[in-house]
Amino acid sequence: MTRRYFAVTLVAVIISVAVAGTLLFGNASLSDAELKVARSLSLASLPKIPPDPSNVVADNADAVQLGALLFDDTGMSANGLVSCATCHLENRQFQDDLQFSRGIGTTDRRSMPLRGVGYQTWFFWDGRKDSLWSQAIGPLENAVEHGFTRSQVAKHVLATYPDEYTRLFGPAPKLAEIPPASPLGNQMQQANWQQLSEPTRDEINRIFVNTGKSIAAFERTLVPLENRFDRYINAVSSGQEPGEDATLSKQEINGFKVFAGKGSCIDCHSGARLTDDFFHNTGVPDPNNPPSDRGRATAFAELDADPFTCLGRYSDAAPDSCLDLQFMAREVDLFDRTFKSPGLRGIAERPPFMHAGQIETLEQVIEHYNNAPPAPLGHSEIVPLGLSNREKADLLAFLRTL
Amino acid sequence: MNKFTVLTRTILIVATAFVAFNFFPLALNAQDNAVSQVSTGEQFVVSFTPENPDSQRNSPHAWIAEIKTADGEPVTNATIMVDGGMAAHGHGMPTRPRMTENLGDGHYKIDGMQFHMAGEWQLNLAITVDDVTDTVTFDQVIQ
Ligand code: HEC
Ligand code: HEC
Repeated sequence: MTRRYFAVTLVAVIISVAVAGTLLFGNASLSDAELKVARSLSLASLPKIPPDPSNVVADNADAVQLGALLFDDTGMSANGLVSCATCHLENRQFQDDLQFSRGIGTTDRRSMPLRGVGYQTWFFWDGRKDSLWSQAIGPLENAVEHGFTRSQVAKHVLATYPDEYTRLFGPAPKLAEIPPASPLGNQMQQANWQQLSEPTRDEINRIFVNTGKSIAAFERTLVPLENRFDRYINAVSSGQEPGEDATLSKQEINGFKVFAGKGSCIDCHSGARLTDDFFHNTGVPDPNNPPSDRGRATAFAELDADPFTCLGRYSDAAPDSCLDLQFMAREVDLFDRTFKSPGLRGIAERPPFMHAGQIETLEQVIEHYNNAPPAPLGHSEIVPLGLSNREKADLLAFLRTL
Repeated sequence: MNKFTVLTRTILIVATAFVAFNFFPLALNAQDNAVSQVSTGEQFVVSFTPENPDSQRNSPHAWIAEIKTADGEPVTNATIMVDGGMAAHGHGMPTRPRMTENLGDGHYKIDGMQFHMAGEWQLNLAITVDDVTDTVTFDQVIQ
């Protein structure tokens, strides 16, 4: 009897200690199933970059070189001061740390980091572009970004990079004296565009597009970088003791469990880039009152009207390979105020957060998800999480390892 | 049963629950995906599988529907509408798949399937033959 009593007490004590231990420190090791999920978020599961059949020079080394020059070229802007790198700084994960970016004017959305961008299907916060090259020609003619016109871009590129251009795209046409002309410019620039013959417009468009295709080739080389979480997962899944730069604290591991479990973050921030590449309404506030940004809902009409999509004449893809565009879900109501889930690599280093930089700190981001406020427009997909203070702190610690 | 056995049992149960909860909280639902199913109105026996098992789930890709009568005869003149969603998350597919080809012998190609989230999806097929429509839903675990 006493021996039995002793045994039972011993078991009870061991369990109490274990329970108390978990309450205090959490269970900081990963089960096989958890490790599998964790691995799915690490660089180990990043596939090869998908081909871009709409861009014949997507993986051409000369195009990469020309694209790198164009990315930094301030000669393609209204004041000679703005390049892509103005708002996408290499040493800042190719974003600019600002709520709104400054080019010729001020943008109404936040700049986006570019590492891993070659894996994406839809570009911009609302996905209104379906290829990297078509995206790249957007800012050049945007009045608040480069404020340039396509005729000026064409002339500048032929004058500055004649050999590089010819090597890639064959002999360039001689462009006559053409005033700044674009179908998207101001009244005068649009009038100038109207004056041009159809063949001239086509020549200009082609040089403009080839400029975009070269920039896209360069952007495809901007691969995601390894973080501490990747190193930890690599070590653990190969059965090694994580080295000094590869350790995760118990709190960080618990944060991963919140991310993949109770927090449901992984529902949208999945895969090695921590994004599902899709559009969601997460109820973030709109800086304007009444709210003005409808996100993805306005992108379908823009894609339809865009001559530079996968299905247009400047694409190198066979129309039947443009599956994303052909099968795209496009109900305006369903997508009201939805935005693309951003990847979360390097996230702690680049506040402010969200499409209009409307949330300043990661702590506030976590509060936002925990509270799940109603959306200013459309319907928020997120629900209150009921995270404890400890879980919030754990989640924050995990996000900082990315 | 004396009070110590009760206590021992309780402790055992708590301990098992503790281990299960702490060490396997993320285990995926291991349910098998059904291969073929009878439609709601029992008109058809339907199977629905990816054309290429290596397709990336989060890019548009094709699935093949095979439709037979209850007697096992191939149904060769069907029109199929497909949609899908995740009941647990209240959202649909990121694409709008369509039947793109009647491959003959009761096989049909449904292109534009895409899954932006891993987990259990419901795939709904509405099959119309000679103005009569019958439906079938597949619960499909997508990894
Ligand atoms: C004045 C600042 C500014 C300049 C200059 C600029 N961008 Fe951006 N970039 C932004 C902003 C802001 C966004 C998001 C805009 C939106 O969603 O409407 C963005 C979005 C992008 C995206 C989309 C990324 C994604 O994940 O979808 C790419 C790619 C990009 N820019 C590349 C470029 C390239 C290439 C150039 C030069 C040709 C350039 N940008 C010039 C501010 C700028
Ligand atoms: C329903 C999909 C969904 C879920 C679930 C989700 N997110 Fe997001 N997340 C998004 C979208 C969409 C955005 C961009 C929203 C915007 O700008 O309007 C975003 C933005 C973010 C950002 C800012 C990124 C940036 O570059 O500005 C962070 C950080 C973030 N999410 C973390 C989390 C965490 C942590 C969780 C879990 C608690 C979570 N997300 C759950 C879809 C989701």
